[in-house]
Amino acid sequence: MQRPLDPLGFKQNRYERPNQDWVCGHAADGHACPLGPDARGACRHTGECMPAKKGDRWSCMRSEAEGGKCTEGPLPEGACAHPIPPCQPMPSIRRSRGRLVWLFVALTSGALLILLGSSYLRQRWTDPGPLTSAHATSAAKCSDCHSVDRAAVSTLASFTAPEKSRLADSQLCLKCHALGDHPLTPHSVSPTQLIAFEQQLSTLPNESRNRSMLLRASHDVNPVRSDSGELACMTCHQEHHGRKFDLKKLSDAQCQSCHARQFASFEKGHPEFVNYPSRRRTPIFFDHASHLREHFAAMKAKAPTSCQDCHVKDGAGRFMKVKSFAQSCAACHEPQIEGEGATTKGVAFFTVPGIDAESLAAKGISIGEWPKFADGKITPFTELLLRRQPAMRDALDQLHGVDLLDLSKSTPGQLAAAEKFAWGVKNLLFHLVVDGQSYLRTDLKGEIAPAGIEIPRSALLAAQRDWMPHLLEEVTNYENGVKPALPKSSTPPPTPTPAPNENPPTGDQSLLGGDDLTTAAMPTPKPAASGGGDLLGGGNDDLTAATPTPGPAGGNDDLTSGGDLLAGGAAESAPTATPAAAPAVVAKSAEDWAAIGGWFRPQDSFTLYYRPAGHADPFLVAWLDAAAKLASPPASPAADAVFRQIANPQSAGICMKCHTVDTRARVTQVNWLPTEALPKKKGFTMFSHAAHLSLFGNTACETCHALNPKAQYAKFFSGEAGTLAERDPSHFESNFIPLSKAACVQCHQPKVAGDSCLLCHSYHVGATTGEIAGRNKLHPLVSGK
Amino acid sequence: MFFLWRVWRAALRPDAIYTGILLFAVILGLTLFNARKKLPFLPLVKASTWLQIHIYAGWFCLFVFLLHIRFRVPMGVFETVLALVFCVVILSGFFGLFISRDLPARMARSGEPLLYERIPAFRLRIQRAVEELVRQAERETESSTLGNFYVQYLRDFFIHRPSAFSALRRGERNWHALLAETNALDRYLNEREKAIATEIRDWIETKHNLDFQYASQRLLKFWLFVHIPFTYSLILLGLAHGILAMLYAGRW
Repeated sequence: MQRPLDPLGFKQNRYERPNQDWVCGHAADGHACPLGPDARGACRHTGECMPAKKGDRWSCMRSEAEGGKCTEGPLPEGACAHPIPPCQPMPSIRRSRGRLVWLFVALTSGALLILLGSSYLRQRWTDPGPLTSAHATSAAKCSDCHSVDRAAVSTLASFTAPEKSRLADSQLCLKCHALGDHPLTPHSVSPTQLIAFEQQLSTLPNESRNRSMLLRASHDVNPVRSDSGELACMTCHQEHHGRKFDLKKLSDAQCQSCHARQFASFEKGHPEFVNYPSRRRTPIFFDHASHLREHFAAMKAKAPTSCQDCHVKDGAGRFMKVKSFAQSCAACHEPQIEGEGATTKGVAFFTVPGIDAESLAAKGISIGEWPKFADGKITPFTELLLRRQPAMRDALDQLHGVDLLDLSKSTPGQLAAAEKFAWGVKNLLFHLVVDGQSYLRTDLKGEIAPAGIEIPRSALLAAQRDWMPHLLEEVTNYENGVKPALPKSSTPPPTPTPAPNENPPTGDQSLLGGDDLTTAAMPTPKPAASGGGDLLGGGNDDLTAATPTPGPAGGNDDLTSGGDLLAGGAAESAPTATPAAAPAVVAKSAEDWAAIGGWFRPQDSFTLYYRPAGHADPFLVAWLDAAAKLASPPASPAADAVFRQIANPQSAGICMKCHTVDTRARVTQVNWLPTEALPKKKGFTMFSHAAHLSLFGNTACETCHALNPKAQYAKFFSGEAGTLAERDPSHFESNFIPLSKAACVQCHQPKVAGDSCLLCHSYHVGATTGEIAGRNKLHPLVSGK
Repeated sequence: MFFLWRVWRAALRPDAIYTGILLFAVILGLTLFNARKKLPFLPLVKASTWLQIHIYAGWFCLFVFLLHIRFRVPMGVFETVLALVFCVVILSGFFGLFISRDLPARMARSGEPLLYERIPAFRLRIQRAVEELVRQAERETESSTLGNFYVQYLRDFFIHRPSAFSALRRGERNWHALLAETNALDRYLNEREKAIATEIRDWIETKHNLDFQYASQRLLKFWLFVHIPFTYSLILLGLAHGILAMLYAGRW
């Protein structure tokens, strides 16, 4: 049984004072002095009691708690008979704890002062966490991303730096990230566009009644935009959470907190798709329905067997690209491009128009030599080139509606315009011959790609030689003020000489002239002064002159004469054979001769043609692009005429049979690619074909893309022939039934394939590239600086 | 609070700033309890009420802290140190809560309640009483059995000062072993010595209670040596962290 230790009663107990700062040094041993140390921690006791003097005697004052009065009593001088040796007072528990608190405060404050006072240490130790891998390579110090450090490195100055703010920090982000013209506005679009989007969304059915309390509340407290309507990058992208942290990750609630139209999930409340995925008319006119129903059925050998025969995933797996022309279309359409079944296989580029030179001469107007039998009209190309000269524009306008082949009744003004026009044509031909491509390049001022002015010199020289042999002298003299004399008689100027061996009704002469083997038998006109260095200009180095004149026995040299290398060899191996009469050589027409494309000039024609060299012919592509640019509203009639000529779906090359033309925002452009060429444009919606095909297989395109047999796909491409009046790509009807949300919802559930907003939608849209500015923005270790 | 936090998060509000400010305010509020203890004369609600509020606020503080760090482990050096200091404070607080709920009841069951400041004197008194009994036995019986036994087994026990953490030990094996030794000695003692040995056993029980009272009260006082200093460090570090966060988040 325990013995009681603490007797009850105040007399038996000492009064404890635990709140005092100091404790007697003997207390731990169990015999603390009754008084204890003073407030400063000094020992102040000398005995077990402090004797009191009563009368002339000292009496012991030891308390009962200390054992009561001692038997010895105080010493005669009044000192206690039981002295206590002095002690070293100890701090009380409270005081010890207080000291420890101050020690911690001092240590913490000191550490913070050292830490924050040194920019080096502050950057090292206050970094709240590693940056993501991408940013770790581009940010070497805090001030790369934080305006507060950029504003003032010293801590006190940082508090008052005016330029520090979240938007100021965002401007630092934009030094590397290209997010278009409105990088900080919601969705990186202009406020006008944003309003348009809001209006568009407001037309959709309102499913807001299904939204949760969280969505409602978050929308109510969401004024995340600043006064300027801009959002700081760090609103959504928060760094310093580790190398692998997903900066783009946002919850559906976060995505929707800004939106007035909110919904519970993709399945419940998400608006139904509208005409997805078709947003515009296809850039290439390809009617899937008619091809599948008619063309492929008729040509089963060439027909594709699955969608994959014509479509292939792009590198990122997002889009299904159309395979190249050679892989998907050439089998059927290449011959058509090369002119199979076409009445005209070339594009008329330059022509010498017919002019009533006799009437002009009768009125005393001299235009020099002019092909008498020229009776055509100038080609749109020629008119376009003529109209580049301001003086010619008036003349051409004056001659509008005038029959140039009969100027007998023309007014003096029209006659003067006709003279100017004739000399303009001659001047153009002169410059084409003399200056060539450099003249065109200067004249067109870079509006056309180089391929569009690649006209062979030999073709021009041969044409000029045949049409106007003295052109160079006449134009030179005319420019020096010397007009040619009026013709004394009606002696016709030289005309192209028909080749004797050509088939008269369709006989043409190839533009290559001297190069054309069929012309070897023709008498070659000798231009008077066409340049000694000219390959075709005469002299011994003139190919046409050097061409041996075919004779009856000359067939071994001339392929067109019926002989060939083998035939020649055979003739040599049989010297004893009697030479037979050379068979009549029937040369192909110039148009047919240029079967693989190039320049040609038909016999008796005063027109220079170009025949396309298959698909994507550079000459036609260059002129179509240039003409489209020139034909953009407001287009000049000449430019529009050129565009109408070559953009006619039936013209040579039949480019516009498949390639469409868009006119948007007063800009006309030809669609050369199957998909719209907007590589830096990012839309709200994204879809990965690769991810889906890996699940459904390559033959499951029909799962989403069901053909709509009733669709009037072709109707929206059937503009007026040659004009392609229907150039608005937003007017269309797809070949396929638009996708419905229900098809996606089957898999895209929270616990299946997921239904996060960011699975299909992008936040930053428009001209965002996501590119960083360059190596100079990278970490020194990476950039090598 | 959790819903509010979710709303802030969903609304792309700076929830870490909000929870940080709230956390700092709660911590400051918690420290007021310490101030209240230093002002016992003021009529500021009962100390027990303060303690109860302090405990609830501590739990709330932990919850807000978890929201503040978004249930993720901090990654930066400064933030990690801050989080560790917070953990020390909150864990020491929970430890204090545990011992303040557990030890007083055990102390009441253990025996006579003793004032902490008087325990050294009581220990000395017990030691002297036992030594006096041993000397008495030697004088009366002229036998050194009890004396030898005291020197060999009991003296260390009676002068021993237990560590504070011994109060957490539930087992009483050492004390029972000592009693068993004393009981086993009886067969070597005469009647007078047996009577004295019985008294000594009473003192052993008394010393055992004294040791427990001493260790328990020491633990109840000394856990604050961790809780309070670290709290002040936490306030200073938290203040610096808040300023840095506001500055670098562009919200100052």
